[in-house]
Amino acid sequence: MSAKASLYELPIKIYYRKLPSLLGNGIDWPLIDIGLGHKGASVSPKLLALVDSGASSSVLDPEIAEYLGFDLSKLPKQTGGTSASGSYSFWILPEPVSLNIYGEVYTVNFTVIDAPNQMWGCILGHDSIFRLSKILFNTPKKYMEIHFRSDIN
Amino acid sequence: MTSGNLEKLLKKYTSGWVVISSDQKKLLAHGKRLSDIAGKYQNGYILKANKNFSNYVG
Repeated sequence: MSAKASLYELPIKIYYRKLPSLLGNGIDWPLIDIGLGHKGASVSPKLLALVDSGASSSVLDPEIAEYLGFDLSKLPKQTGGTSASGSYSFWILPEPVSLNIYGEVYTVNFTVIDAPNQMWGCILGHDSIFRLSKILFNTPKKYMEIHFRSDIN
Repeated sequence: MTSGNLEKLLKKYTSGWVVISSDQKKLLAHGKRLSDIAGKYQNGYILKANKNFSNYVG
């Protein structure tokens, strides 16, 4: 029997980060540090991004998109976005963004949501990190394991 | 990978953007806009500040 190449790299174990909460005892979120770049512009240092299994699209804050050189005032704003928090307007970035996750670099398409009180600078959803890897959430033990696909990069 | 309890560190920063040190023990910078803090440090982590991170439903 011949050995088959594994579909996934060895897992990276990442512990959740505890952030402030209303009740004062904190709340744990699955965050990873990422690098973002576009046409010579990059966000530094790294950004803590939410890994959100409930997000079909990956999302950037408008300030990050503009920092990366996208002029949102020249892009058509779309309406009709829906989330658990209600409806929203958004822009679709016309070019992909370079996403560096623990040394692996990918190109990813992002949506930019027009919400002034948006909580996260970046949300990675099913069209980015969940396409690039298999992720096992172990919330009782407050960590996740990311298994990157070995057939990409 | 390092776990991090950022609750106490971030408690008094309720808006804008912050830079946290790589060891997640110090707050390096806080600014109203991303452009106030980005590009000023090689190491660390950027995060949006928020009074309450418990009311997000993904």
